[in-house]
Amino acid sequence: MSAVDEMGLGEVGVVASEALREILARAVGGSPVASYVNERPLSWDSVRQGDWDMLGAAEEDGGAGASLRDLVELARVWGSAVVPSPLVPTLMAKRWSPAARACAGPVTVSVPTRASGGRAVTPFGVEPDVRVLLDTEGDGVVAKFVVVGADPYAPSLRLAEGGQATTWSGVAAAELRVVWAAEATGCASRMLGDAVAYVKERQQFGQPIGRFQAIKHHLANAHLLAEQAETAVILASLEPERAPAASRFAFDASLRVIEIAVQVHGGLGFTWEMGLHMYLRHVSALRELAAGLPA
Amino acid sequence: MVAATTVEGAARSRFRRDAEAWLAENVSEYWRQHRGALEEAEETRIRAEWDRKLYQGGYAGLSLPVEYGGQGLGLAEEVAFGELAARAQAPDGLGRIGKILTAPTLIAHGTEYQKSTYLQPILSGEHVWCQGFSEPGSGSDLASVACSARRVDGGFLVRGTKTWTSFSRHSHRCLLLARSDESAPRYRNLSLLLLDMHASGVEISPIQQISGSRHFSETHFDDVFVAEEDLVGEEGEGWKMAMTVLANERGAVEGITRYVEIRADMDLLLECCSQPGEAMEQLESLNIRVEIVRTQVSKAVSRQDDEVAFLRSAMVLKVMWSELWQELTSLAAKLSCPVHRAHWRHQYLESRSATIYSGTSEIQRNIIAERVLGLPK
Ligand SMILES: Cc1cc2nc3c(=O)[nH]c(=O)nc-3n(C[C@H](O)[C@H](O)[C@H](O)COP(=O)(O)OP(=O)(O)OC[C@H]3O[C@@H](n4cnc5c(N)ncnc54)[C@H](O)[C@@H]3O)c2cc1C
Repeated sequence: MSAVDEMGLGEVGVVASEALREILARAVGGSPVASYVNERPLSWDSVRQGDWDMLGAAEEDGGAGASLRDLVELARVWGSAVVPSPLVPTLMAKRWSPAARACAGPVTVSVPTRASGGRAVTPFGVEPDVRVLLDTEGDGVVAKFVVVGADPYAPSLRLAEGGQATTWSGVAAAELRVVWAAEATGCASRMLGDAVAYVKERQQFGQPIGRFQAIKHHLANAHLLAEQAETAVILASLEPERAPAASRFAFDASLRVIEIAVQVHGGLGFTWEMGLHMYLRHVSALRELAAGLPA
Repeated sequence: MVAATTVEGAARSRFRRDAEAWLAENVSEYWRQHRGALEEAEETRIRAEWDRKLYQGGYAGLSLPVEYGGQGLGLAEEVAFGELAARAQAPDGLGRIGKILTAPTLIAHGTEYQKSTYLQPILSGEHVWCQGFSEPGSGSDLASVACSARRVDGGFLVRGTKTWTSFSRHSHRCLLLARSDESAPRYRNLSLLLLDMHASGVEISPIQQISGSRHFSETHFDDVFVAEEDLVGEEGEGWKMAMTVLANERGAVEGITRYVEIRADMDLLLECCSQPGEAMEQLESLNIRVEIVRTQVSKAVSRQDDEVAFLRSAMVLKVMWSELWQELTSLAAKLSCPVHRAHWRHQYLESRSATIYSGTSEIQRNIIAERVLGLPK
């Protein structure tokens, strides 16, 4: 496979994201997000069995040696379902830190955010048995996470608030920002797909609402943004000096796509049951976390 | 497979190195300093000269076959060169209609005669082309064109009026969409012709644009003869041919040449025309969007073998760059740099056209919704 032809995407990225798509389809495929977001549709054991947590670690460290570009592809697939599982922070922690790799269970990170008044926010911090990577330097320092408070805003991220924050070194923070942004773009692409399907079905004034030009232009805008968001995270993974700005763009554009999806669903889009808000919550919480990472 | 990729990779990086050196040597300092604020005649001269330089340097028609004067490389090289030209602030040639629209259309649908007659002078910069599609009564609704091509012995007689015809005053030939059959149904009543702009019966009336320049004209055809050999595709297949033209007009090569201009404007805005600390967020966002245009082009090219994926990523290019450029020039006008006042006043006005030509932004959104997302017509 030629790297140029796939925008730098490697074999690992292609194979792993395809496999992940299948796993997600098996775990939650077809069911509404609100029905599983408070459950555990994908067990940690099954993540471990597939060695998914080691995907980002170097081959000499027993990992699959995925590049940041590969991880972007994977995170996009992951974002499509907002399955509540600490896979993303864990595979990143295990990418950087031998101490994290020594853990069998999930490992997360902890980031002080502006919205929490500078208190550390920990995705999946309220999950049982989760550990937190406190320092990414050298071997890394991993500790058992002690829950101080919970933030129920984004159920798919199981946020905890308070406690010690991770200390960052090297490329860790920069890589995580890109991967979180990629996850957000995956959310956006999924929401666009759902919105397109919905407007072809929903009838008003005796025709599918997708025939109205106002709806077409909303969704054309959503497509423009979703495409650019994907391109932005590819760019971020290939050109580190552009990564912070590209990631910020990707978050904002992705959120706008989801807002448009809510709009074209009408009243249904505003219901808890329909679950589109889970994506709004997921992406805006990730954006806060990413903004809290050091530059 | 691995070896092939490495060889290919090495060839690509050699291509980039050579092109970079060539550009450094050939883009004049004078152009770099004064572009955007030149008199029209001088700008035209420099742009025409650039076409000739590109040809002499072996950089014209990068993705066209060698037998027609091209370089026999791919879309990837075409795009790579565009990117490097952006960094070198190279001019945009005068032959863009010929190179971007006529050439790929002839490669796809032209006869041997047409390819061997027209491609080489397009690439050498000898022949400038114009596009005769729009008419006073047919803009967005292009299929309704009424300019007629009437069958006569050995060819057609063209009669009617085209408008907004860019480059017409400099043109040797016109890529003309005309109605060749009054009785056939819509979409099957048109033909694409290669019309000689120096033939008798062609009359050009320049139209002044909002920026003050006269880059386009109303073009009248009073029984202009077009020979049989200059019909592209079959008679009545003009709409299909026009779709090829439009796809190129809104495609990757067009996108990368637009990136060239927008990148240069962005650099100017960042380096000179904004005060430290001013409009930081807007500037950061515009700047990254410029680079997203570049990456979007590469992404589309990388997906060229998968029709659905290609369409998905290529169909957004026109709206992306045109609206970005407008936002950029609007901000620049607002920031009011005294050194580059003339430049930004011009670009601000000029960029209004970008969301109108090559299919308005509204039409592009219709196409995205219907062709890419599959929403009902
Ligand atoms: C600088 C410049 C250079 C040009 N160069 C050339 C050239 O070289 N050759 C050539 O053939 N043409 C050229 N054009 C013409 C260009 O292609 C047309 O202007 C364009 O297609 C729009 O057509 P129109 O001007 O008739 O506007 P109209 O079609 O009348 O559109 C007016 C407004 O109505 C909107 N509208 C129309 N139909 C719809 C619809 N179905 N849904 C929603 N909105 C709609 C449009 O988006 C627009 O906002 C050029 C134009 C410009 C500005």
